[in-house]
Amino acid sequence: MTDTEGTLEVRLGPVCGPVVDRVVAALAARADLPIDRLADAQLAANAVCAGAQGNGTGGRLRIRLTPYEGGLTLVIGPVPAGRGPALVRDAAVPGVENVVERLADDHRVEPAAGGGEVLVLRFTRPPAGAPAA
Amino acid sequence: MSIDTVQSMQPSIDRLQDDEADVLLRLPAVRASVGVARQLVLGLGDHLGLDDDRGGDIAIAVSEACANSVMHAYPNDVAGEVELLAWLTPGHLVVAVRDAGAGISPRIENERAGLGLGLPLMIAIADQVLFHRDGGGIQEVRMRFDVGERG
Repeated sequence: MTDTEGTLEVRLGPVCGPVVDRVVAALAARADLPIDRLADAQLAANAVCAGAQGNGTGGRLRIRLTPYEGGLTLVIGPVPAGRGPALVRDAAVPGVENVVERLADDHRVEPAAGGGEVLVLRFTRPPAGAPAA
Repeated sequence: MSIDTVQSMQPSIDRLQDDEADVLLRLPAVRASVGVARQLVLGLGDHLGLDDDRGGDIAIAVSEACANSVMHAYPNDVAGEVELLAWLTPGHLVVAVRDAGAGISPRIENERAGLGLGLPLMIAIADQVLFHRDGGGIQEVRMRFDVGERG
């Protein structure tokens, strides 16, 4: 584990939103993400958690946050093999389209090291001097 | 339900199992992790609807436990981790701070020890504090906080 990583595992349900909001924000801030990107990471993580019940999570979800030179990576899961795309599909908010596809700069489903699949989201930091979104 | 009935339903906090935890947060044992741990507790306070004073006090107690791990568990700049677990039981929030390090001494005598107020603060704020070290080198401080009917 690097000095700026963190892994959060949370029971899905009412406690998830407030905890994910605060912890994702705290770790995203350490990645020097600007506020708008930090908010995008919070929204996307919460949307995935909100839609994850029933996707083989066993009622809990793990989020590993890893800053890298260009931004922040969120690795969500694992979930059983084949259920990864459902984490993306079910992160939809009525009237807003799919939150993951709209907010993350990149998202993909990958095999998890111990079996199953994880959803990987990337939020990049704007280049220095770029205007805020 | 009488208060006696509610209290008799409380599991002993030392019997709460990891897989029963509502939240687990694993962080590197570095100074900046204390702030992340504080945000975790404030998030739990948001969920429980705690007022700022009570939520802030609980955050202080947990931050102090986390700071102890960061400052004293892994000397000589050895990398390590600190884990926080939280259980929401009826009327209470239980938080454990755990590391695999050198242990907490009530009397810390080194230049990084600060004012030595961490343990007294934890004991003053929490309704119950348990210290535990197992044979595998894992040590833990577990604190129970009364949150009234919200938990």
